[in-house]
Amino acid sequence: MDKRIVYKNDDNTISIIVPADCGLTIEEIAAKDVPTGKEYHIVDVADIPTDRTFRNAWEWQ
Amino acid sequence: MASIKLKGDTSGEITIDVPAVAGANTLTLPASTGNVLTDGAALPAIDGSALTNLPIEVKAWVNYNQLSPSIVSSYNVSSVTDNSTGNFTVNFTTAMSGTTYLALAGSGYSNTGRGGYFVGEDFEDRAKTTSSCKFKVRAASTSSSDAQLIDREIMNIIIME
Repeated sequence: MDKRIVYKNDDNTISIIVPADCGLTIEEIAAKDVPTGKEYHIVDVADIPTDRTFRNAWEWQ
Repeated sequence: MASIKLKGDTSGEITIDVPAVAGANTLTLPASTGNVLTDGAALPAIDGSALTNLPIEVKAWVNYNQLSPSIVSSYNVSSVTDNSTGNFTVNFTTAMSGTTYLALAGSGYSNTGRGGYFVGEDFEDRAKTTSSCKFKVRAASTSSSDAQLIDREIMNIIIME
């Protein structure tokens, strides 16, 4: 799947959900796996940086 | 009418026991020609979903690449959440029945890295639920301060219950 689900954590870091090929849509996976109450964004995988050197400093803007 | 033949010239006897209850019982042989006991082609297929009373089953697994990050292959996994470096959560499609399930994890060896790597369910955050399990990966070290969280290319997770 070429989509990712991004949400911000309480400490302003971000988590990125990598969907599996499980028969659910990206929206269904977001509804199930994003923590309750968290705002999330569905983005293209190409929008996620590939250099993870400073992964823990990534922020959603 | 078809016939039943018993062959052999050794001594002994053949006994067919029937249950000590009323009712008809039918022994059905496969239509194909062959030896039921030794010819695999004549054996009926076994449906794994019909097996019961197993002591433990593999309920989910995932082959996960932390560096991409991406899921190479999986079973009963809806997604993997990349929380931060060396920190990810496996989310189950169908939840476990409780939180006492086994979470086995292993990291693939890499020629580009040095030393060993430890991966296991996250005991620090107490993040094990029926619907997900968090894992952390650390580089092996004799000092806890040096055991840094790290991403690995091959991460194998097996959930058994």
